[in-house]
Amino acid sequence: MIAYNTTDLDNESVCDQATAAFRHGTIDGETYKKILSSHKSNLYTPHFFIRIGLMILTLVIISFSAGLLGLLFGGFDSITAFFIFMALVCYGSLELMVRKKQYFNAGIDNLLQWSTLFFLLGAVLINNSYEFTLMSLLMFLASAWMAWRFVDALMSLVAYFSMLIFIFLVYVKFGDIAKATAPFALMMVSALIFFLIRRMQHKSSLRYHQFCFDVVMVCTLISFYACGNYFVVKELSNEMFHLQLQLSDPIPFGWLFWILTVTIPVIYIFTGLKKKDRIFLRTGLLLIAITVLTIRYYHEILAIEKAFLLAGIILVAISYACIKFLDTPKAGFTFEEDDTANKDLLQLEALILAETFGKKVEAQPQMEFGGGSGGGGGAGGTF
Amino acid sequence: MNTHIFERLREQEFITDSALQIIREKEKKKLFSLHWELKTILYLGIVLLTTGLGILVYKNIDTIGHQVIVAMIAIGCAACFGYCLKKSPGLSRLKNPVTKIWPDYILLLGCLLLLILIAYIQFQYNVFGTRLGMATFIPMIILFISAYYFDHIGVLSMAITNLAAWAGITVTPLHILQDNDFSSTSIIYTGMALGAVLLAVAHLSVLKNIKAHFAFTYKNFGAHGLLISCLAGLFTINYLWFIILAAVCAYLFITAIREKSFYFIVITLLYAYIGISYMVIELLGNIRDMGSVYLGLIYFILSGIFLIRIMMNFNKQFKKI
Repeated sequence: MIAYNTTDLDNESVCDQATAAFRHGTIDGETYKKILSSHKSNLYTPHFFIRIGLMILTLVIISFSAGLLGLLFGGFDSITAFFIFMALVCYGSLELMVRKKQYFNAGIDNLLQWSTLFFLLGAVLINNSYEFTLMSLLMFLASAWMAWRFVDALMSLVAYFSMLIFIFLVYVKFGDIAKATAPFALMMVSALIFFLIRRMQHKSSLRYHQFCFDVVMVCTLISFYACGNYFVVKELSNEMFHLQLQLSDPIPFGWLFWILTVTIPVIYIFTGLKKKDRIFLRTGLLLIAITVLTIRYYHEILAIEKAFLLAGIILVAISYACIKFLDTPKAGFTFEEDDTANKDLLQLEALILAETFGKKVEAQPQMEFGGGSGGGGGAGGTF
Repeated sequence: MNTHIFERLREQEFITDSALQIIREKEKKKLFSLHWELKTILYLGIVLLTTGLGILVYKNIDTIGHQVIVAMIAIGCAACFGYCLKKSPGLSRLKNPVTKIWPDYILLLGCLLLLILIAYIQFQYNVFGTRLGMATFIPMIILFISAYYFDHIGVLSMAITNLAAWAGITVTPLHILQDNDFSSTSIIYTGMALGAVLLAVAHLSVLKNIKAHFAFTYKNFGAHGLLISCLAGLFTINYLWFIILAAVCAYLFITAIREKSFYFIVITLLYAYIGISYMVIELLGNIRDMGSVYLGLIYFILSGIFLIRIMMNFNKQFKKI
């Protein structure tokens, strides 16, 4: 069902891992070159800047093709039919190009996916613009299919959120009790999907979609928080159910939502640090900022400049203390950079290294902490 | 690293047992890097702190008084530069081998404070009067010196931006600015000159090996300035500019191929594409007919496909090497 040859996908990840191992000095240049040459992949992923160029040009081609087709078939009965036709054209060319040329995140395939969704969305919304339930269902089906078939993380993100919207819209149709419990229902859905992914993630038959799962996992964490966030719950129910609440009006179970708003990010950060899970940690850090904004929206505790000053001092102090503390690595944490920067560049660089220093790179069995070679560097000036 | 993959590589006898053992060990001992997280928090903290200070000063300007504020900014600025001077390894032609986070940040802060200080005294005391050029010239010089002395690419970008502002203000007579008349062609010529100078500096930095790693920043600013000025000339003056645009694109393209730079290949191709498309539309616009609309649409589709092929071709050529 995946549009690509799975051996190619496997070979790709073997090459990535071999590059990392070579850079760390665990395998020598000969071995590295041998692994690369015996794990050839036919997937077409050009250089980063070429991808952006291809994306822009594909956008030009699609929009002018749409214009030309629209002019040629001026006799289309309705604009909806035209949009559906365009969505089919985009999807058809996507399938064709992936099959023939194995484009994999080449810019062209990404843009064709987005435009398929765009035309589909347009087809539903352009005439009768209140069909949100149908729209979210269609979006979910289309993006989930493309996420699976083309192993695309962005599509999986779209699929997750459109599914959430669909469930919400259907759920609130059940009446007043459903409306009141909608936040909790959505939190349950988020949690359910989170645990589902947790269980599926390490199955080797699903290894190609690893990155999609990671992305959806971040989304589940965010949506779980958002459904318990005081601001989201209050303003969204205000908007959706026309309640006309004022700023200081309370909502039912308000205290519960305040507790959730404050505690969830803290729990995320602690989980992230305890399990050394970057997804939890970064999401938690982001959500702390949103929590602060939420509190300030309803309660102006401090004047803005004092709040800024205080927050700034706290943040600088925390980071300064942590950086000083991690001068030498402690408890498995370090301030040294991970060198997983630019995949493309790393592989090219490593190949050149392997060419020039074909001899065995001595394997350091145990590196002393902190003795970073500084080799990771940045992209430098070589674009 | 994924140990499963290496276990499979071991089975296929690509790697030795000892290598696999090392990889397993490393995976077990792997440290969790907080680099990105802590740096972001630090950056956010500095932004919040300075914003808060700014608002505080703004709200209390009546009680504090301008002299005090100017003095405070000046002291802060001097402190920043003093700290950097103390920490700096000194002037060198090459790239500093180690870059420390704190001096880098402090230098950036010092440069920002310097710009604020000069803007403040100009606004409040009108020190430079109507000679606005001086108000941008002085910080520009200081920024360039700091960029070279402390080896800081961020400050270099600020200096180049300041240079552009200075050049723009200097060539623009004051009455044009006051009348908000930006259609003046002199700004286009200035852009051309500035772009050419920056490209030349980029070239010289590599040739003479003076801070060769600055070359990309110079070239980036220079190329965009030159190409945008060419397009502006083409749109507003006359078609002669198309030839200049073509020449500039050709030059940049040839150097990009020589340096194997994907970035410059893509941007010159796109700028050239905009120029050519403009010419085609102008040409088709002269034919007042429905057919020209169709022709235009077909032109964009075909040219897009053509350009995609060119880009893919370069990608293939460079990958081979």
